[in-house]
Amino acid sequence: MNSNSRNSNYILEVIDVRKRFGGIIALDGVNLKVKRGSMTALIGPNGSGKTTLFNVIAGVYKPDSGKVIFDGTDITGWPPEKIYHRGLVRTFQVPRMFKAMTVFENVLTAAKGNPGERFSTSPLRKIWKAIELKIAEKAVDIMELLKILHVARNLSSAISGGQMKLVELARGLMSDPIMLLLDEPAAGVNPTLAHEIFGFLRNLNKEQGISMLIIEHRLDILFDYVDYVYVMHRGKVVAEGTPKEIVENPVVVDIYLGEA
Amino acid sequence: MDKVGLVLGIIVVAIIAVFAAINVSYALDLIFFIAFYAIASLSLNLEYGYTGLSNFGKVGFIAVGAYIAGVLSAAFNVPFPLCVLAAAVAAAAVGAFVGIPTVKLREDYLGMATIIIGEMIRILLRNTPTNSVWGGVFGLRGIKPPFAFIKDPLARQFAYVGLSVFLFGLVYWLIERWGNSPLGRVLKAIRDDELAAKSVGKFTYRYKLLSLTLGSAIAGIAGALYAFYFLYLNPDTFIPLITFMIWVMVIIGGMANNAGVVLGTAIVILINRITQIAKDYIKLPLEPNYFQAMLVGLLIILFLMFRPQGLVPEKPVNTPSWEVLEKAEEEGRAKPPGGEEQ
Ligand SMILES: Nc1ncnc2c1ncn2[C@@H]1O[C@H](COP(=O)(O)OP(=O)(O)O)[C@@H](O)[C@H]1O
Ligand SMILES: [Mg+2]
Repeated sequence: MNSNSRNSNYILEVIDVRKRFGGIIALDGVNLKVKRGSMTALIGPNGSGKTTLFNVIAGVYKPDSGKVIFDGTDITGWPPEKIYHRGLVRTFQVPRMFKAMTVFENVLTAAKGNPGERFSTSPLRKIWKAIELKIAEKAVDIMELLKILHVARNLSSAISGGQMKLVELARGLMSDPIMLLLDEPAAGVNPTLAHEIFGFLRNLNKEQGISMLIIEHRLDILFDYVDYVYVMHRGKVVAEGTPKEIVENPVVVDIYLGEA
Repeated sequence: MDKVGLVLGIIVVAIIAVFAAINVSYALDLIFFIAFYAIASLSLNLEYGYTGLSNFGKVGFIAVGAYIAGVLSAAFNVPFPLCVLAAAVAAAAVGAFVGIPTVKLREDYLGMATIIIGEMIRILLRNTPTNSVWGGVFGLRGIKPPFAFIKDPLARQFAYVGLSVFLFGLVYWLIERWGNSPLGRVLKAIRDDELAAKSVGKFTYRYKLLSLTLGSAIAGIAGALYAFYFLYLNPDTFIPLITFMIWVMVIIGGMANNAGVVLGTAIVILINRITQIAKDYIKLPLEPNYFQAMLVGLLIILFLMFRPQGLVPEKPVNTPSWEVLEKAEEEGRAKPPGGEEQ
């Protein structure tokens, strides 16, 4: 990577990304940029390609064409695990729990650099005990912050959908990410709690400087928290701007009225 | 729930003790079989119980270990410890060979590849020249017993079964350590949701391949133990039914629970032994071998329907992390939201 692009204003650049599934064109040349340190929203009606774009950025799908630049590095086509170690972490729209494991273990598993994760060293506790304890402290702190510490011992398949979303977020935070991609982090929770979650995310964004790209489709909830908004429709970015500009944008109004 | 395991464990030990009181050699034989199968079922537990890899060719990896150890001993007089080591390495190599192209693909491909490999190994062994050390369909002879210097047969059997139990203990310790460490969490994470595991940075391909390779090495050790117990090998003992039995042991014992798997192993073997003995005393309504297979088949259906978690269910991965959680809970940090207003 070169230092110029690393210091660039943009933490994430998506350049003309295309992806089709058979006859369905899910992404039809998407371009967007996320400012370093910003909290940016990605909105758009169901089926407009938001989740697919996340999957392309996070390495789950390879794009048919186009590029993804993260923190100055071209990560197009990288596998998800490598992207995670580079500092870009995503959560899933439909939570994906390690379902036969407790919430606590789910969160612990996401830590980076645990020497006890190797076949060769794991039998010898002495080697990894100290780091494991540090990781556990961190997991407890994060779970307390996200108010899921009281379900730490529960099986992750036996908690509410909203709590699963928070477990996903907790896992994401374990690695001290540079950037988070959050796919509907407050879906399925009531507006009060949704505001609480977005308020919390905004704090993280401000205090720890974690850049964020967040999918959400309730515009009213988003707009108090985010710096910038991209609007997708039928696999394309059709509008962008500050929340205020987006509310007043006739194109956006049309899309949302058309959906309703 | 753990009481179930404890009670059944005591019953198993009691039955073995009764056998020992009647006939020591028979009891030693029984103990050998439990140790041998337990090593095999623990290896499947590593692969399937922890990592979610469906190995349907377990018997093939055992056969590789048995034959490599057997040939080295019979033809080259290689000492027992080196034979066991070579058996592990050879079986591991076959495991890696099967795993490299299939572990990346969908789950079912590994299942198919292992079924085929398991049978291919048996057929290959059947077709070795009968006048070579391999012995083809006539089998492999001339394996040198490791305790040949002990002249009393019962004492010799005792020494060998003791050694086998010791090796079983080592394997148990190792898999238990792997399971109760950060590694255990990673393997279970891969089993539960591979994409989510990748998304939290785990190099799942490497873990799956290592799990299969090391599981195969352990199955190879079981094979070597088998070779030096019988001192004779025949390809047609390594039939798919053996793999099936090992699966039954893991499923009824309790996946990702090593103590449960050992218990499941002992129970399946005791059922087989007791039906074998029973056929001499009571007239069974069916050919005894079929009856046995039906009984085991029925057992697995009942377990899958009514106790899919097995006799001893999976436990959380035990690392010092729990002490940290406990301390936080004692400090009252684990309040449910809104709890403070109550
Ligand atoms: N794996 C897939 N296979 C086939 N079609 C898909 C797949 N993933 C998404 N799609 C299609 O791509 C389009 C965009 O979907 P998605 O990205 O989930 O939209 P959004 O997240 O904006 O609601 C939809 O038409 C969807 O059916
Ligand atoms: Mg979506």
